[in-house]
Amino acid sequence: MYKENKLIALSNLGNEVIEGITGFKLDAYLIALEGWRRGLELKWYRDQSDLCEMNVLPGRTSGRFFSLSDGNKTHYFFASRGDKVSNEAASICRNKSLTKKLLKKAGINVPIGGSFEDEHELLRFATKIGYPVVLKPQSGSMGRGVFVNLQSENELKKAIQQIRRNTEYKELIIEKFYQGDEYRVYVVGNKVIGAIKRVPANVIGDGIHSIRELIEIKNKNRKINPYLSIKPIKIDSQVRDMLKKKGYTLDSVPEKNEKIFLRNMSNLSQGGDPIEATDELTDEVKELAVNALKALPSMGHGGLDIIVDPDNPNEGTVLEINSKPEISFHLYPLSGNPKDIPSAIIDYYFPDTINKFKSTAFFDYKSILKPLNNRAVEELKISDAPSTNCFKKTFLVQGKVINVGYMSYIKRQALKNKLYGECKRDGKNVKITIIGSESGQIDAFKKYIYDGSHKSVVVKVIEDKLEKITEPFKIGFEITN
Amino acid sequence: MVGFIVKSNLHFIDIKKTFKEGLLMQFKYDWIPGLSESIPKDVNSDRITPYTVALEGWRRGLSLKYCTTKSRGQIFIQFILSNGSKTLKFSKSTGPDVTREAVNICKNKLLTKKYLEKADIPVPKGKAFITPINFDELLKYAEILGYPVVIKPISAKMGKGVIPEIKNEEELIKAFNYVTNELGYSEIIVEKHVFGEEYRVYVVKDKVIGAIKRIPAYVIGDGVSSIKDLIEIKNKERKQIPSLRSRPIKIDTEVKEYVSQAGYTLDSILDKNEYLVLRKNSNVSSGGEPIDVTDELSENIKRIAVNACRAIPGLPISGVDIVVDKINNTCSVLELNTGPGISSHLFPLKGKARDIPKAIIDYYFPETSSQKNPISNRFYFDYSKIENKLLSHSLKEIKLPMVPQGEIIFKAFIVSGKVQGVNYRQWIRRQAFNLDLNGFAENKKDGSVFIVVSGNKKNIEEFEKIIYNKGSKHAKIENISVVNWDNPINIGFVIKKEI
Repeated sequence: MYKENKLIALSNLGNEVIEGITGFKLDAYLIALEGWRRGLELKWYRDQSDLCEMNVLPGRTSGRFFSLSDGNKTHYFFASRGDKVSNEAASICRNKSLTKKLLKKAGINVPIGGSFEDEHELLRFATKIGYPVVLKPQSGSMGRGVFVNLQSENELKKAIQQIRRNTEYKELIIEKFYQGDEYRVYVVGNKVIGAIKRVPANVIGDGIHSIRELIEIKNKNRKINPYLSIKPIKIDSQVRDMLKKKGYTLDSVPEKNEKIFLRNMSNLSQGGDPIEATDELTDEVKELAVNALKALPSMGHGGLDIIVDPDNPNEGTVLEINSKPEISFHLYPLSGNPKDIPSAIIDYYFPDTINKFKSTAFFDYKSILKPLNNRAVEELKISDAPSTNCFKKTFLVQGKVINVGYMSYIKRQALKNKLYGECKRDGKNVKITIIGSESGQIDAFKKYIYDGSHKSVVVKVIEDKLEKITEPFKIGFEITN
Repeated sequence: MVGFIVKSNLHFIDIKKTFKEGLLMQFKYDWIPGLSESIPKDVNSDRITPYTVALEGWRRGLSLKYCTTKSRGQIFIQFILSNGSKTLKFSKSTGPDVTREAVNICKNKLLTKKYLEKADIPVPKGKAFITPINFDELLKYAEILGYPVVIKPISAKMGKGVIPEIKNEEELIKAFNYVTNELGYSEIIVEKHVFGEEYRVYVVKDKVIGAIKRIPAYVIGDGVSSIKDLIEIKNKERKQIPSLRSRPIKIDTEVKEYVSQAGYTLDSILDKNEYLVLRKNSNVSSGGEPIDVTDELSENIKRIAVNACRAIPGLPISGVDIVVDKINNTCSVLELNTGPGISSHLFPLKGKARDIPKAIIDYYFPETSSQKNPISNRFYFDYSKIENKLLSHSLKEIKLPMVPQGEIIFKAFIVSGKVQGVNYRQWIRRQAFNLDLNGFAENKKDGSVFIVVSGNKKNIEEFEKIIYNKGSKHAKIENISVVNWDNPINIGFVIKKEI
């Protein structure tokens, strides 16, 4: 069997904390959680309120729009974008040629290119700058409608037709295609916090499995990653063509450690790999990234696409800037050490909280925010995170404790006593975990466990040792099966 | 005639098909139109008060937030209503104009008595005894007062530790020992027991808004059914009443004793129209029935209730407990409640319901008294979910969306075809969100989907256009029919399933 990979994650942001949360919701949750764990007040909103007019593209806001407050100042966030990214900066980011113009003015390398409505002019320009080229629509995001590495006028024409067919964009951008490694760099203030190298979809041979099997194995590993789970490598004509060019079929068995690329495009949504690569960047490129962000008005943090030619590692070309980039691949890379983007963002917005106590608790994002998604409520304020370390104790309760209201009794008492934890059925017994910020509180709670509810009969209780919690735990109290 | 049918405001519900001899009975209530339909299933007993008062404010276009507060280690729910310039916080039915001082006075029965006596409000004659209690003196006092007497702790809530109708010295000793030793109260009042009918009078700013009395659990014979069956029928009726649905008559030792004292067993069949009392206590929580008596109150009693509130500084709104002796045309004020529940006034079993929430909101937000959009009565919110979330420690504050304003219409559809298990309801919900519609989509047992939407006319028309032309990817729509829908709906858009 091929070894099962584990999710690479920061210590308190493991799978149990983020389970089932994806996309922009995950970005929002990760940043909100970081602030909340430091003791900031966290509110979620159904819609954008007039408190903060963040200019965002239309779409669902619930579960993405939130605020953090330390009592004095409040900051608003929409997914990974905060109010220290101005509306002006965000709208510049959406306009690729305007972004380029400002970057150029600030002395940042940008791809040679131009934008055209007229196809003939565009083709003429392509010949002028020379193939290969990149074609993309004037506005749009997430790599939609972007064609890279077009080798000839024929390929370019096909791409134009496809864009025209699928989108309503009139103006098209054409750029020179730069060879090199593509990085997504995350900058907060004056610092590069993380960089991911995007490597086109690939498999590495083990001398045993066929390419088809290797893809399957790789997709299984992508499944456990919150960012990549819905972005498997799809076997399509592009993949088959690419293999054919190299003299392989899907049934070929590559040699051990032989790396086989399946696509040209490095887009993660096309099966590309996000590899943590912050240390690969030279100081010069990092400085370039910071300066590029500064070239936009009031752009506190954001993500940049930079291409770096390995033969010339001190220079980079900035392709694009994102005001609301996805951040989860920095936290959950396919290889390399995860980078704590949320922590850097909260440091930046709330510097007073840098050395504050940080809880390992988390809240049940999906269940708590459900009424927002139903649009049945407008605003939710999450209960405060524990402000000190918590203790936990586990009890195994034997006797007549099933179907006699014992578990709901324990839950009621726990909530009344401001304790967290869970009740779980364990065969004929009940397993109870009680979590509280004071050990005395947990001791005092024992009487409820021993006394039990009206109809229950507690025969024996096996107590575990009281221990300090270091792992993540959910606030609230749950009864599970 | 087969089947036993109860009429609630909602629809006919067949509640006892297997009943031996079928009979048709209709329970008709004079309730506030549409209110019982606006109370979600699990909003019962104590939840009704904080829900209905907030609901009234919200329906008038005020913004509404629920939050938690901690007091003596316990978590309580409060709500905040605001019109933008004025923001007021409520606990149950109690708003900010009821002062801390008033609450403290009313908690202390001795103090309450002093204030009432000073204002010439009739109260039962009595005296306080404080530790160390001279028991001989207490006995002597009871003798002078004349039996029967009542003893009660000076500060106890909800009638706890109140022992009424003590007939002699022996009973007094027993009661005294119970209250001081078992319950541990050290300060008590000995009072003359006043006979008569007890009323709860709800006063808002010098005006009696409603009055109820409670009668102890009972059954009336039909010449056919056993006592046990009659209790069951009563309980089924109680199930239809928001304020009573979680409070059945329990057949316990007291009930059994009452039945046997009357010379019956639970299986005995009562004569037609024979009235059998099942317990002493008239609390609705143990099977008592609330009956509206507002129109029965004499002007004199109303005046006394109003004056009792006035006698306490900072108490514009209160539930006054008065015992009325109709024969002698006298009355005594027993107690003033600063946070009275209102559900009995809203859902009396006999008599007319009184709109207490309206009176409370009129008092606190007078400018809204005429600005309620009638359509707002067709919206409500899921209070029990809100309460659960707040009490589960995961949320501190929940703000509701504003009640829909302007010209709102409702429309309902039954969609048949292959519409279940194909994400059709989710698809419908997306369309509803895009058009700013409230409502729900429900999977019916017969395989169809029932949709109710509300919103402005233009958007409803747009919605119709969409659902007649499209559906979720795998749905196959055979027929869409428009049906009638008059009930209120939950705010937001909910996906549900028929049960």
